Amino acid sequence: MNHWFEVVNAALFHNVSTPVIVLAVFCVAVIAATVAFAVHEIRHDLS
Amino acid sequence: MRRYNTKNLGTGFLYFYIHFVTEVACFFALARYTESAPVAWLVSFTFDMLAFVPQSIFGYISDKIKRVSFGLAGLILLAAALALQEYTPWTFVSLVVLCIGNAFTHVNGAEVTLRTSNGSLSHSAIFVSGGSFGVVSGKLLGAAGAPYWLVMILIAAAVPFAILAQMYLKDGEFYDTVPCCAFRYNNPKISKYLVILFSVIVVIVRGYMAYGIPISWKKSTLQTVILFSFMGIGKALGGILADLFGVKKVALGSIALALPFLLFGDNHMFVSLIGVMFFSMTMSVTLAVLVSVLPKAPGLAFGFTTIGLFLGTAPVFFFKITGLTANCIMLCIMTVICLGCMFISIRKDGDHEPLV
Repeated sequence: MNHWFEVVNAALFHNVSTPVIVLAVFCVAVIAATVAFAVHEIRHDLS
Repeated sequence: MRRYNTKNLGTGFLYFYIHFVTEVACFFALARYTESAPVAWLVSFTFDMLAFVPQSIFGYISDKIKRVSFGLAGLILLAAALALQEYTPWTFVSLVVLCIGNAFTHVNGAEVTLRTSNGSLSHSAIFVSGGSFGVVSGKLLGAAGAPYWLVMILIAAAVPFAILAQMYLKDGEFYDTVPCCAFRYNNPKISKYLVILFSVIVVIVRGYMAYGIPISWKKSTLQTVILFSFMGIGKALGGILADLFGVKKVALGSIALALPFLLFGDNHMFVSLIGVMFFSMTMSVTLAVLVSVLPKAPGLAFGFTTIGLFLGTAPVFFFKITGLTANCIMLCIMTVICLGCMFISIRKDGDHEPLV
């Protein structure tokens, strides 16, 4: 069990470029979802 | 001067403390991640992203599932993160738990203060201001090697506050109507999408500007504490003054007044502090404008400000403008952008539609 966490730790923290890309993709996805929610709310408000 | 609305102002103070404790816990934990330089950089960057960006999604869930106490859950997660950091070697896991806890308490703070304020900015401004005091306290406690249980006690002391804040939310009147219908600070002559865009641009620009403020005078710990305290005072004062004198006047006035003090305060602490205070005043204004276009989703509106804050601070992790002249030019340009965006997106003071 501990080993699994160590692997994740190593992958994410000992190679800086990989986690930055992963985080950037996550960030873009969340922002896209946020915009979609806002559009939904505003359209719902207008109707 | 308008009549000042003190109804439910207690929620602002409840969340002032909860926000304070949240930031203490986070910055205490961040100060204790003693890794090598690139990893320390990544820990800070990951925290910035995972604590700020998902707040919009958590906020939207909180808007829809109203009976769950995100504040209480956030405090439990913060305590769990500190325990994980103390007793396990799982840096990544404790960091993620810390970020989610941070996001939960922030989202709940926004929900509670916005929903109970009846259109006033003071409640959310007082909530937001607690963070500045928490950041500096957490950094100092972490740097001083304070024991983790001390922060645990602070978190435990915030639990009754979170329960009480949830009681305010459970009051029927905040559920039966559109939660934030009293917020009508957006310019009705332009599209709501543009208002969101301009408000987020203001937050991004302000986030980046904060790192470019020339503060050569800041050398001692006491001066750091004073700087963060003035930030906190400015944030709270912005909301209070906006309620008293009008949102647009305070937003435009504070940004314009901040510029000369920031430009000439590089070596003069008190001049710079006045600038920092003015500069911090617009924080609650952008939130109020965003809530005005998303009155049924205050959590989502708050999420836009945190996304903006992340986007504004993210470039600093990769490159930073150095040199006083370049910084001053950047401050001037960004002030003009902020003024333009706020002038267009904020409704003229006193030009409110009647309440439905």
